[in-house]
Amino acid sequence: MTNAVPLEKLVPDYIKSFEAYTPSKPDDVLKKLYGCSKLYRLNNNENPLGPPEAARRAIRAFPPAQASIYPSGDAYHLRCKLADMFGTHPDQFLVGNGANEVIAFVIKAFCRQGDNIITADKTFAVYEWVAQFSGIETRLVPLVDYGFDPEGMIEKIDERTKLLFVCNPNNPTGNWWSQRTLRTFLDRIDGQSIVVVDEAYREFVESADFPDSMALIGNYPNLVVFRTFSKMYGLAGLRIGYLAGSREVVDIVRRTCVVYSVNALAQVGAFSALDDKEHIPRTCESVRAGKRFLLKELDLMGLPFVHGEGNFVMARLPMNDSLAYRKMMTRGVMVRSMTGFRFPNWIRITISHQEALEAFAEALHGILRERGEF
Amino acid sequence: MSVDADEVFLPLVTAFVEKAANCFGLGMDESLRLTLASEEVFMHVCRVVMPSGGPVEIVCSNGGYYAQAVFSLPTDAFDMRAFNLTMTISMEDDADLDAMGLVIASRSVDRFLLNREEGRDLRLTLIKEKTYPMPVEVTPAAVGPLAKTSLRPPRPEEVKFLSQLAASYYDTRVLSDILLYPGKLLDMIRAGEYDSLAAVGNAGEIGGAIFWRRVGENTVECFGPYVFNQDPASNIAEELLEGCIGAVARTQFVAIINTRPTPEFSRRHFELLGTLDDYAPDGSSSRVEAWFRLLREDTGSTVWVHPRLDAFVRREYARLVLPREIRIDQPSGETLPRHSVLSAEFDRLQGRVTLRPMWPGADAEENIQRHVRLVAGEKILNIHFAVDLGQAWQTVFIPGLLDLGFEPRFILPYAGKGDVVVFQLGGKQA
Repeated sequence: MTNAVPLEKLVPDYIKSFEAYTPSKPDDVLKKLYGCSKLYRLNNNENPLGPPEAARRAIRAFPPAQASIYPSGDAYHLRCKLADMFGTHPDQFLVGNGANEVIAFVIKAFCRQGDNIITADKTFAVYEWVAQFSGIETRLVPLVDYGFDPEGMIEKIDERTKLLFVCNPNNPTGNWWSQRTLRTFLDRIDGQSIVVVDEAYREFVESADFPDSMALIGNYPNLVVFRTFSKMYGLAGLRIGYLAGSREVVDIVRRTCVVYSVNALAQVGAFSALDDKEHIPRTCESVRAGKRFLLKELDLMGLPFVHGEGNFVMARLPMNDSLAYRKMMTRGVMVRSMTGFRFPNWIRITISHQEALEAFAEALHGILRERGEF
Repeated sequence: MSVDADEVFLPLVTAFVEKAANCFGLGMDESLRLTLASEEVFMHVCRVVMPSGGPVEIVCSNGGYYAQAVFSLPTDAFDMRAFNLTMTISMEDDADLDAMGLVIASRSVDRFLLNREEGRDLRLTLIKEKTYPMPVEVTPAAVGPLAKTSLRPPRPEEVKFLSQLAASYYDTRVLSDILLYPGKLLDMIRAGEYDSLAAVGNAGEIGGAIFWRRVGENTVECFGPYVFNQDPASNIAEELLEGCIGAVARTQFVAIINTRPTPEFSRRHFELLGTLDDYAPDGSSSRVEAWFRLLREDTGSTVWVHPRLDAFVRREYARLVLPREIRIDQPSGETLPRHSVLSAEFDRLQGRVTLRPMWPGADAEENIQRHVRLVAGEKILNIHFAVDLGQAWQTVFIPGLLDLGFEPRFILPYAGKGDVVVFQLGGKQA
């Protein structure tokens, strides 16, 4: 008889209390589980148009033999291209295996036990998760009118506050800070902590006074900006995202980053995606039309909803969202239930193509009718 | 501490457990009971289980409102039947006399747990709780309707006040029994086993509260929301409920249940699992609803189901839209241990006992029957039985349960290793 591994002694308390994220099962498994023949994914805010044409061509042209060669360890060409685009230096960029990885790099670079980070209570969960499993305290500030509360965040700062995470526009509410709000916030912080602005949905934004945060880095060396190729650029399956900041800050973060974590195919796909000038306007047009349709349908069903910038809408249901998720799944529609975002009874719907949105509306109508709610 | 299974180490073992229990804050009587139980277990291990010696590890730890001693030993030869509440000793039977020490041990502690996974040591956990006094009855100051409240965890000094408020505004049927023991509640909150949120006015006035505790690895049970003399149109109850859900939404917990909903409980945040009959001492009964919600998207799981439970389980999974791979399982002539073990959790305030399988055995049906007889003899009319569908070995108890008149009432998703079916013995049988 062998003894069990003494996990009680080996595992830190902050890991014991942490629950690993359980990703969705693959579509074929889910379809079997829920007994549906088709599955529309409206849960991850993916771009239904897929990658830009230029990226598709680059991916198709990728020589299979190249798979045996290590990729550029620091995504050299992509960083040079980003520097050209934004008029900055390549060393101001750090490319990661999805934006989630760069979140971990930043927290590792600046925080040790006893330090804290500040973010909102109802936002993208990964800042909080990474801090938690790294043994770092997260201070959560309630949203105000579905948006980040700059004053509330500032009030929570103490001498051990290293990072403030602002999701702009906020996932899942779509609310966003203007250039003026962000500048005022940065002025109040006065360079004493690192301010991370996560712009995963930046390319969907159409409001004129959305901040030009890349330009603000020149004035605020403590500002770090996250971007991703997973949303607008339709490369979620290849996992690639990046951060931008001042050279001195990026130099620190680079010390904690895992080299070679971004595969070669992702690098060529992302490099070429930036060349495609038609993809963003085409996607934005599709999102506008989809949003119009979806909001009208939600209105018809009498459901309160929240939306702003970004390719998603959040709706409040007269039932619990985890049940709604399961019922929608049996009808072949996958949405994001919002309990995990601390919005119980809300769901988030990706603005996908028309057929998927119609399937969603029909499924939700059916569920509400069944309950006598519609 | 680690010692060899040799009686020569007995003084060391008892001194270790007693000192630890004292340090962890147990009173003298409770310390001695935990020590006595440990002494009997160790003696039994030395004389009966591992007479040729072998390593025994004993770990004592502080649970805030309890202390525990965990014995780990590399053996399969531990007959657990003495841990049945119903075990009696015949002075003529040598095997019974061997088990005498364990009977004493099991009666000296409040709870025990048995774990043995394939290829691992057997772990026997003895738990002794502190004794808490019932509070002096004080009618708390009346709370006026509040125009605006915000949610926050109550301060330690507010916890006892909150429990008094809840106990004075609500019937015991919708209270957690812990709320009647404010000192214990405070210790359990400090130990992280209970949590709560209070709805507080600008001047610190308390308009409402909600409490929750972990039940097993995956589930949280919430109590409330309790609202104290507030405008019925206020949003306090819903805010408390959403605050509770939000507080556990990003934790390891998968589901949240409420089996004692107050009138303010928001049903649209939850799903109805089913009902239990709540029998009063005079034999009259009322229906109690059990509600739950998942805290994340259900990615499916596997359950082990006896053929006689198959129809109930399929109907419930279809109604709750829970994707499950149902595997039919039942004893098929394989050798079972002679004696099964059941644990019995009493809730005397509610007049309720919940039996749970701890160990399979060929005497499963007789053992259930013995427990029912004993519990009924104590005039407890609400007899429940919880079967974990995530543990195939528990299917051995199903025929006996159904034959004795237990009815499956509902499924608690993810409440054990897998989903748990709650049975209730009908009123006449109890």
